[in-house]
Amino acid sequence: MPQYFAIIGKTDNPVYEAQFISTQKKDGTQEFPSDLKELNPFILHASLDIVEDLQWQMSPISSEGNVSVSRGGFLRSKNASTADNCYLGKIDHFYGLAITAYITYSGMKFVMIHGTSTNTNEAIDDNNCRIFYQEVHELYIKTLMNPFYNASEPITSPIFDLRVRQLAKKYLK
Amino acid sequence: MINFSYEHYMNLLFHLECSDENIPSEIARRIVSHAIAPVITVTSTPELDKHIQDTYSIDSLYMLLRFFGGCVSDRDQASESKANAPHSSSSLTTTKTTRARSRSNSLFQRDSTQSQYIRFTRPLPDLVERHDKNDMLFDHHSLESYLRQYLELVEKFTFDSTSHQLLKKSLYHNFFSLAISSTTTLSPFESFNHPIMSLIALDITNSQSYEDAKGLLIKFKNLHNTIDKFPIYINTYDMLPVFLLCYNADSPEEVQQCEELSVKIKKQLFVESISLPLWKNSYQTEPFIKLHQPVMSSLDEMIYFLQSDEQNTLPIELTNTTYDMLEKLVYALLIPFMQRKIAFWEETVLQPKKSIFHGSKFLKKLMSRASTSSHQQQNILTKDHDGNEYFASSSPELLLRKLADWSIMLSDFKTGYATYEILSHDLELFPKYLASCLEWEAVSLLMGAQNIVTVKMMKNDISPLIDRALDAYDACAANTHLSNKKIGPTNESTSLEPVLSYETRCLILSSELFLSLSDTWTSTPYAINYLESILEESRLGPCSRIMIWERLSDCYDLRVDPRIKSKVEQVQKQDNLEEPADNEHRILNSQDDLNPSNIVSQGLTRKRKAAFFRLLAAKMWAEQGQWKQVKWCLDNITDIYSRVGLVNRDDLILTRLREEYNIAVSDSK
Amino acid sequence: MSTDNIIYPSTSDDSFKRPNHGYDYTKGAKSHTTIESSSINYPTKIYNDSLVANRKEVSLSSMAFLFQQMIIHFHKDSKTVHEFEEKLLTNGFQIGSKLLELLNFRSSINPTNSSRTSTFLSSNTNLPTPKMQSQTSYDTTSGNSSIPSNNAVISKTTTQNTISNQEAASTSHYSSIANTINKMKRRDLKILDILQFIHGTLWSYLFNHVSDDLVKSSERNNEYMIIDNNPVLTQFINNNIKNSCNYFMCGIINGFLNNAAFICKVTPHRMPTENSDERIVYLIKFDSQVLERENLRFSS
Repeated sequence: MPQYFAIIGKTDNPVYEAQFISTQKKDGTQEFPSDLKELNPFILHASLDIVEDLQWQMSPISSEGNVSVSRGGFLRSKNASTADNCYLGKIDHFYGLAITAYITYSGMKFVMIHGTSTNTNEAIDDNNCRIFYQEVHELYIKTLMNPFYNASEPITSPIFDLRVRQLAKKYLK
Repeated sequence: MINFSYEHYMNLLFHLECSDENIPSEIARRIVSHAIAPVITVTSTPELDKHIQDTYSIDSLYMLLRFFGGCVSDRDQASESKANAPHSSSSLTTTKTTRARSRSNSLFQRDSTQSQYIRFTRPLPDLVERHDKNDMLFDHHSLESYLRQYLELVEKFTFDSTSHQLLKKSLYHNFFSLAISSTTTLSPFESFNHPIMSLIALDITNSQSYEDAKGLLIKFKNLHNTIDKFPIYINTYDMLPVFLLCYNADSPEEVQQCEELSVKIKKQLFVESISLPLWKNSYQTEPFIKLHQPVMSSLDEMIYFLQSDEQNTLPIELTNTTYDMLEKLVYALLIPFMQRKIAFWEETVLQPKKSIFHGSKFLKKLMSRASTSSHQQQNILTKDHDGNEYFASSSPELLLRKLADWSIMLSDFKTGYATYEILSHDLELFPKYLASCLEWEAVSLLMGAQNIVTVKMMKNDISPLIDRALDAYDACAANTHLSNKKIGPTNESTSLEPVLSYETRCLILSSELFLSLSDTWTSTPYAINYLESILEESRLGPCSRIMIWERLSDCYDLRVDPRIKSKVEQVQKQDNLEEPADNEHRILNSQDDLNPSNIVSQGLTRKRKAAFFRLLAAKMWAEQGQWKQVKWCLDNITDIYSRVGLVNRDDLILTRLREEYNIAVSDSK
Repeated sequence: MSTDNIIYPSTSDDSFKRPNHGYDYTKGAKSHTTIESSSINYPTKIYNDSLVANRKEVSLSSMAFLFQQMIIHFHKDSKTVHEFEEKLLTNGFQIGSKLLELLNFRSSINPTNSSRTSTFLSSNTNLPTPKMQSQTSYDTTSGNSSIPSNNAVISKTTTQNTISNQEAASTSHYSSIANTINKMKRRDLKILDILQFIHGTLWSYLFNHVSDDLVKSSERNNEYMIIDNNPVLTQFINNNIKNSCNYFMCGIINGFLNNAAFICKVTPHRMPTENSDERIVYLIKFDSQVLERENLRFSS
């Protein structure tokens, strides 16, 4: 499954974007078809409304996404005040594409479009996805610790890029 | 100033000077009321038609009267002319009063005086002959070709400077009205298109007399015997014949004749008559006004008239006289007749049914459980000439259905709803009947209780009803499919289409009514859901599908939390005034970023989603070569995307579409 | 523009000076990185260091001198008191916005894995022991395990920390802690929650003790006060500009809150009491929209 990942600032400004391509040998390199490629940022942008809605909910359970997929899990305690509200899980969908999101403490939006794989109905692995986001969050904070980096600026560091890609390889199918 | 009426809005393309007005209030309700308005057939004599043709170059009386369909009190055709000041001001006041009345907050609005719509159609024999065997509401190909022609006209009539916001909405509502109505289909499963009044016209100037009247009436009464394959679910007894006596107002003898004839007809034939001074010398000296096409018409007629350049005109005075005549016809004859019939059916069909249960819910439950087996014997279908089985016109089921249909035609949604509810229990074994019944049960609820619909009602009552209706339509499709398989390998797609067209209507109708509710935050997800089902299931043509896509964008645009509605509008106004800041500047200067004016509304709108669907529509319009539409969509989303660095790159679709549009425009020049 | 002599913000610590390797927002998402090769470990201190706090203490004197130099620098550059205060505010703002992410993230780290605190200023040298909270305050110290109670814990966890760091380094060449977190600390959504975090965690991080009080104004419902009886940073500063210097701390609070979407203005007010002569009240005035949002989202 290819993924399109972006970090979006508070004015919908892109801070970082990347496309991940699965290089598993059995199904070859899978990329987004070109019509989706030129549409991806728009799909992602369209989901930001929902991200912002969930951002301010006590227990961010999305009603937009397909609830049966990727809900539950041991993390999702029913007690609203203790549930994780950084990782929002699947928040939206668009013709077979699933969209997951994560919000950092300063309101940076990590959003990812998960492409469809050849073998469909493959649910998103919520746990791995969450850890991927958390690790990127950590990398983001490390970037932020750089005194020369100002919040909301695009992250141009190739190391950051490399690390994020390594994480994608590790956690995302 | 001309009055911006409902019909102006629906025909906005021909009234572009009004394109900065607002959408008329309760537009969805108005369209639905209009789409199910009582149908009046117009029967004329060849002499009369010839006479009309000679004076006004309009083919027939029907062709003349069809311009006057619509909201009777709006006097829309008359307000066409700006010169006609006194009349248009009077029509302004009438619309105002009716609107004020219809705004009443009662639980179910029962107000038969509120604006009444009517539709005109051809004589019954024509309808029966043209009647399609497969009960189709509309076929997707005609709808698509109509839309394409309409878009061509849009292309022709508009300029780059034309403001298009309202026009686009009007375009959709025009499309919507055609998708939910048709004046020619005589469905066995619902009675909205079954004529209620038969207008039989006589030409007094051509000295047509009592004998002609008698002959025409007998012919009408005997239609079911004389016409081959007369549908068993139509009944001329439920149609009110009325004579229309057309005369020359300048001749005192003719006026005299009219009066005498009308007395005689009433005495001997027990039929009312109404007179219309179709001719008068002073008419010719008066300004003529251009007539516009009526809002509701059959798809075939719409297509025909879009293609023809014919422009019909009538003298102003005649237009007003005709409206006077119609008002009399509707309020003195049509509505009382319908009320009488409704009362009669209530007494003879509905009450006996109710009294069995003595109003006790417990007993009712018990009975209905016990009697499910006996139901099969109670409901008897009759075979028609082609071997299809329908409820006959005299069957209690069809009478109940008529009772409900007519009730909502007269805006009595409460009776309508209650009757559909009772009826739906009887129809459980007949999916085709059940589907339509459930659909209109939901519609009457949405129409009648519009102001008090709550989240709970949507979730627990209306949405399940619509889902049941859709399931029932699905069941019909499955049945048709099965029976066709038994018969042999027929073309699957054609056999499924009729059901699909009704299912599409159900979806598009409910989505529009949900959108018209006041709490759009909770209602739009339903609307979106139904529209998406249309895209998934039905076989609409490409342009029709894009209309639905655009409507999806409208839905998202309307999705605003009611608590912040005023705030969002304010911010939008401010934004429009401000110059959009330079992109580069924004990205780099976003340290102290968050605009405090919108932190409250954050997440409580779906404007980005709306923009996205508009973009998709633009992409699809481009594929269809509809560059005007592409431009309008792009114009629409410029504001929201201009500030977003993410989406304005050269390799992305937005830039590509802009380039393609520029190329297409420069090519065409 | 020549690319050679510009310091690229997030690459300034390593040898990769050419930006076309990383993300370029004018180009959008790339599918490959040109330097992709997991076997090479690039020298990058920022990304290789762990976010887990290692307790490294600095003497108050050096801190105070540094702060004074900064004050002198801004003071010289400014024409008015207002400008001077604005400059301090802006600088504090930057720090606050970074601390918002860092401290919340650290609070998410499982306490068995690492310690969660570090001190910006050493408190045990010459500061009086922090006072216990007054009755009216919203004290959460007892419920918040993230604040270390004594040094013993810290030293113990530091050793553990080194071990876990080594483990991490052996597997992936750099230390990452995020994958051990089962549940991130919740983002604070309500005014009171985030103020408590400032009062507790932020203050402890900066000064090794919670703030002396957190009070809600009884007159205006958008005003809150955080009280410091003995502001560490400004203690050696001359009285006539002392209060202006407190704008630095205001900036930190402001940056912290604004970035969490709690738009506010923070001002320092010197309000001495019998016991504490230097007592400073940081007055936080929230934008009316923040209250409106809270009302809208959480009133029912």
